[in-house]
Amino acid sequence: MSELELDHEKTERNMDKILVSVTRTTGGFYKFLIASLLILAWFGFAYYQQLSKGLVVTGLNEPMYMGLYIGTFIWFVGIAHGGIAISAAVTVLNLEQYKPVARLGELLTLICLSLSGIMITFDLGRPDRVINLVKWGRYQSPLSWDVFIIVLYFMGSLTFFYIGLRREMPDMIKKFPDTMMTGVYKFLGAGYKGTKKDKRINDKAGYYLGIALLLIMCSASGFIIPLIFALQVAQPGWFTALLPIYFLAAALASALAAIILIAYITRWMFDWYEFISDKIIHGLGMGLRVFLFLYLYFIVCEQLVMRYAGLLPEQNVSNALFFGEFAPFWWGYLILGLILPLVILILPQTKTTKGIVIASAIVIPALWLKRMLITLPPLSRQLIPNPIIDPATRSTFIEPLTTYGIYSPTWVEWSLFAGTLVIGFLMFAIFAKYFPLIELDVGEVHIEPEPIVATPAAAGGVGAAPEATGPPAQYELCDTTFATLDECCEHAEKEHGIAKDSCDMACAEVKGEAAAPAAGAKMVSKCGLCDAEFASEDECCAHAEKEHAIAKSSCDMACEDM
Amino acid sequence: MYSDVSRRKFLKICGVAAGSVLLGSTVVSSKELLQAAAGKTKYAMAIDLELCENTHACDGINACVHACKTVNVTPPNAYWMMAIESEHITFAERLPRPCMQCDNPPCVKVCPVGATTKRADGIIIVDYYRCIGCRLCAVSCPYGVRYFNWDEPTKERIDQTRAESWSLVNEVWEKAGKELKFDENDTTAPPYMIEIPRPHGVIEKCNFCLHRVERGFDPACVVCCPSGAIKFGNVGDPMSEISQILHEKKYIRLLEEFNTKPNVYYYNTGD
Repeated sequence: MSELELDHEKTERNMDKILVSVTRTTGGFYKFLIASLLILAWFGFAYYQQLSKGLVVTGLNEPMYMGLYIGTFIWFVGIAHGGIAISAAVTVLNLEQYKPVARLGELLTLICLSLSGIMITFDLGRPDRVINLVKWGRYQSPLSWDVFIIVLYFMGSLTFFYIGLRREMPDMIKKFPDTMMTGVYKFLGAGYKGTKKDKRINDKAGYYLGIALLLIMCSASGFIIPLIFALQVAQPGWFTALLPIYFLAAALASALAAIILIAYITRWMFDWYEFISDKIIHGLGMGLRVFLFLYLYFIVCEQLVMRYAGLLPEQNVSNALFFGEFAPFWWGYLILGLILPLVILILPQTKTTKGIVIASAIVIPALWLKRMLITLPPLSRQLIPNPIIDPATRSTFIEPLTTYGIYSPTWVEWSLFAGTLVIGFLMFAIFAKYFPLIELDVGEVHIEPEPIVATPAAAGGVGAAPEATGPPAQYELCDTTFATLDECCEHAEKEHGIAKDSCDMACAEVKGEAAAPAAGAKMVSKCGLCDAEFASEDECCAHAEKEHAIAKSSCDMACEDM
Repeated sequence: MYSDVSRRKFLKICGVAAGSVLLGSTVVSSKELLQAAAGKTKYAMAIDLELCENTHACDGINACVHACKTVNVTPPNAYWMMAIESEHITFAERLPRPCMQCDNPPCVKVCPVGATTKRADGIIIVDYYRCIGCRLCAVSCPYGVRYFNWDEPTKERIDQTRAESWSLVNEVWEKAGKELKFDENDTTAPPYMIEIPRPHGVIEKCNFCLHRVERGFDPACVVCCPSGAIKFGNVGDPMSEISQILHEKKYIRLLEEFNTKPNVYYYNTGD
């Protein structure tokens, strides 16, 4: 979109750096493949057990009808949310600085949504009849809404992902002209040549789909998934209007944590420090802090209402968490899984890149545990105290007669869980072997305009002196500009806790302003909204942003070539 | 299954009707089906808690529970009729708990495939060949009457369940000093079984012994209660015994505040 010319040499070098995930295959990759296949074989064996014997091989029983599978399902859907949210935000809200992690996020969304779909079929007693959901589907059932929104979300994300990927196919074909994947790249490119028109059509589709996806994202985790639970009058801990927003906060927290973790790991693996800067991780970390704090607030609200009002069924559930068999997990979660990461993200001493990554690594498994703590306690406390059958034998009552449901996942459930995770890692690894994990235009470097061309002549003799030595290098961090790199580094260390040796990641060089176009140049761009004409597309974009409030990244839509 | 049976039956009737018109002979119809369609029949159960409490022969065994297991050959974990003991409830010594066959059933609402439906006569049934086993209905039931088939039933287990449960029912009747008799036309009388066992991975629940009710007999728990504490009948008919009881006695229904409108009533003889 920019009129600046590409610095082909540097861009090429950056592209090679991004594609290192495709071109470099180490022994570790094969070790990973072999280990995954072994785990998958075990997974296959476990799943065969469940398919042939039925759900009897799981720890599920009456009244614990839902367990690890459903808890993990919510967890996966939650993680799936952030990815598309971030890349849609990049497109729609013009958050260009997060572009390097957009592709990673989209990939995370697609993988986790697939895994959540797999998880829900594990939970079905008759996966062979899953077609009945279409054949006999009832729109009145929350589960039908769920199937609908997950499929819609998946297809939307896939299309959005594809739109982004398609843009890169010409480059990929150029880079890998004679591999077995070239045909696939050509197919995926679907005639995309990288011309201005191609680009505009593609970006426009991405922009509108991004808006739609942001809405679908909120309505999935913040509305429809929790409604499976919130509409069950018989389950006191679930039956609350708080649940949708409660789920949304957890979903976004786990999603941000997952992106931070995956960005940090890939950056370490492929040496992508110049693309995925600490600034990105810090920004995502602050988002994580907000959602974790919201989550804590929702937990306090929920428990306060349940305990203060003291309606017996609700109090039973709350007591199960506070003092009952769930107490170690509940207090463990609250202190180690919620308060601890919050403290890490708040204290300036621990708020470093490493601290944020550690907090994310805590948040993800902790939120899995929390999903189990949402799923299980209401089920275990029945409204009508039916005596409990021993889940191990499934034929004798537990003595002394108890009415508290008992559940512990069996090896089959753990194996299927582990296998599903491995499927996710495999999907990621295989994608990374054939496609770029960072959008290639992140690596584009533009040629700095030569100062001699415009300034000295135009400015006259007065301001010409500093130009002789070139403009002083300026560095930028948290919107403060510094004259030298050292000054900026000092500031980064003091204010943001960034070590000096990694400060080049924090301090970005301020790029020179685009040179003014020569007078009397041909008008090349026209604003489609008010018919004004401009000498360059950049000017038109600036005009569109100022006059018509159209974000620069999407100004293609307003500005037309003449 | 039952919706299948009745649909099949309905089609059969249609077929017979069409055939009869062609042949010029009379139509043989199913009385129950027509009544149900006309909305005249509504089945309900009334349980006399006082009488139940005084049935000491049942202590520790509960004839109704085992009669149900015999007739419906439920898996070991499932009790379509459950007796809740006084340790867990305050208002009765023993509380027989069948399915409440609610008029506003949460379970029917949430089924994604329409496998569980409410018949016109008020009985809620499960289509075992449509159910996908998501267990959302089990979660939505405040009474916990829905059970899941975790595994495939074997012939040995069915035979064993039937034999064991039937001997327990007989034991209670012996203790009570009474003789358990079934109508001689009753082809569904225990220990003979008509109700088919359910395949693995589907939900099952009490259906007021629909296979018996459709043939004009009371559910097994009603017949096998030595003191006759469980009454069953058509509340649509003002002259039926259950209508009289509900007219005269004060009764309660479980968890009425949930607005499920249950069709199982609990009362005391003395009230």
